[in-house]
Amino acid sequence: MTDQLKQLMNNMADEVKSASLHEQAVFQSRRTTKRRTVLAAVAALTVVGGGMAGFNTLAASEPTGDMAAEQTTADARFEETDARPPVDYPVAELDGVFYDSWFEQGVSSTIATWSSNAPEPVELVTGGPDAGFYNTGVISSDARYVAYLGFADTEGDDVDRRVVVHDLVEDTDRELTDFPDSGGACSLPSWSPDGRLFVDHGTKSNQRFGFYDPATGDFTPSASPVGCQVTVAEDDNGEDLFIAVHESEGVRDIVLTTASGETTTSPVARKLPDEHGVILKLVDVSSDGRYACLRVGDVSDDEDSVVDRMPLCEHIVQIDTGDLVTVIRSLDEGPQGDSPVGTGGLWTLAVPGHILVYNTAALEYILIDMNGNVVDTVSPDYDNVSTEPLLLDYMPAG
Amino acid sequence: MQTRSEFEEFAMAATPSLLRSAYLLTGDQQLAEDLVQSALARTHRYWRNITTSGNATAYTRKVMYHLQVSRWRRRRVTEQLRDRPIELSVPDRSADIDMKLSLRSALATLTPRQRAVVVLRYFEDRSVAETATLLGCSEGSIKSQTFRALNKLRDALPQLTDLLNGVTR
Repeated sequence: MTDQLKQLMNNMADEVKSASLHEQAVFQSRRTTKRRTVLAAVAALTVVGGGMAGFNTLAASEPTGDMAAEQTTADARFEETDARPPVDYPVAELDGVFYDSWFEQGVSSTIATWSSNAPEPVELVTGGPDAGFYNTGVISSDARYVAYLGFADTEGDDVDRRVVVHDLVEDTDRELTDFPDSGGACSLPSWSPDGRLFVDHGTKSNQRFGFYDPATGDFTPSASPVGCQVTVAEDDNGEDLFIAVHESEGVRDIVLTTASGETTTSPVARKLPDEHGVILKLVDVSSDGRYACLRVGDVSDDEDSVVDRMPLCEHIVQIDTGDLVTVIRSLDEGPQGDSPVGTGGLWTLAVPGHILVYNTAALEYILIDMNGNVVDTVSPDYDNVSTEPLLLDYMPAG
Repeated sequence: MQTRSEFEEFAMAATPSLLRSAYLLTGDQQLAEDLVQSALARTHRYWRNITTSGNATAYTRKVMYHLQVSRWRRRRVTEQLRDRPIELSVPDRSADIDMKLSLRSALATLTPRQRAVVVLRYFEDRSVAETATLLGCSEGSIKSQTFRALNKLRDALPQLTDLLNGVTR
């Protein structure tokens, strides 16, 4: 039935002139590889040096234009695995809101939003250089608040930073409590799925762990989760489920603590292939507590700093079974098997039953289901953004 | 050296077919060459992995389609033709030429993803499932994109009676 359309397209295709492109393609490939090697070196320096300076350097070296476009990878299919969604997740699209942050060193720190329909970031809040939006900011599940670590006004023995909540609607700040990162606190503040802020007060506190109501500032003690880098999820009964990294007898694993204080060790570490290394960071956990995005590598690559949230992760694991769902490969590695290519972060598991991957070269977010099918892609419009944004979170529509 | 030779052989053989599809995707000789060259460059970069684990032709074609869609998303490349009014042909002795121009203009009204779907389905004769696999999205998404694309083409090309009759294959 489409013969006429096909014929027309064939006629149009006949207009194209032949071209010899293989030599230019090889040249382009080698030029990109060379640039990428430089990028890899810069990225390595970033990991070693840590902190803002590294991010700035990386931002300045971000590939653009044709190079960026040519690196787009969305053809993700997963390797054979037993890991499959244990529940039926609804079909999703990237029709929600992205929350970016960027900073100008010594000047300001900004949070902005964009969406697929309005891809140009719109600033929500801009703070001074001490506002820790960029490397400690976390957005509440209702997108009303952003919690971050600000610097304390006074110098106390264990008081290094303050937990601050900014109300994005009222444009007001509320200082909730101190954050003694040199006093034993080993988990950055994080939001529970129902909108409470979990805070670790450090080892010297009588009530080390608990939740703050961001609207009132009221504190409610919680169970004491085992481990560090605690993230709060919700179990099948709607109860708090604390998921953390815990090292015991030289083995780092994922440990779950229920609201009543019962703990379970996930088999993730046991099932992790030796050549992958050890669990370094628990970066993101799905709200239902089923999946985690981990940074895995050599233990010598670990960083001690608590207050620099390590935003990148690449190992997607199913927490209850310990199965490795997939490894997000870096752009430098390129396609390996059926793994997606890009980076994972604090937002990678924001869409239930899906994996959100960022291709930093193509500036494209790719949504993949747990079977490896690319579901949707979307790109921000960063033409008017002068410094490299960091995605803090993604809030699905509805 | 051996790998490069194999790649060049592959690239020379694959380029004509890729260029035809790329031309339909972009509507421009230079843009089509850029697109194919970028796709081939990516294939060259991962040549060793691709030749040991998959079909180089399929990989390159897939990359080409993804690049085209993403390139538009990032750079908002729009064709000059898109700003031109749709040319509706009048049946006369130059009807074929008019039809070509109309098709070019009509394709330019589609989003890159819709255009990719049309080219894959009605030029390359791909099934819905194959198109979904190539573009990395669901079959439902392909069907809806096809529906929207054909609606636009119907508006722009009323002389295509097949389309007017509603193609839903």
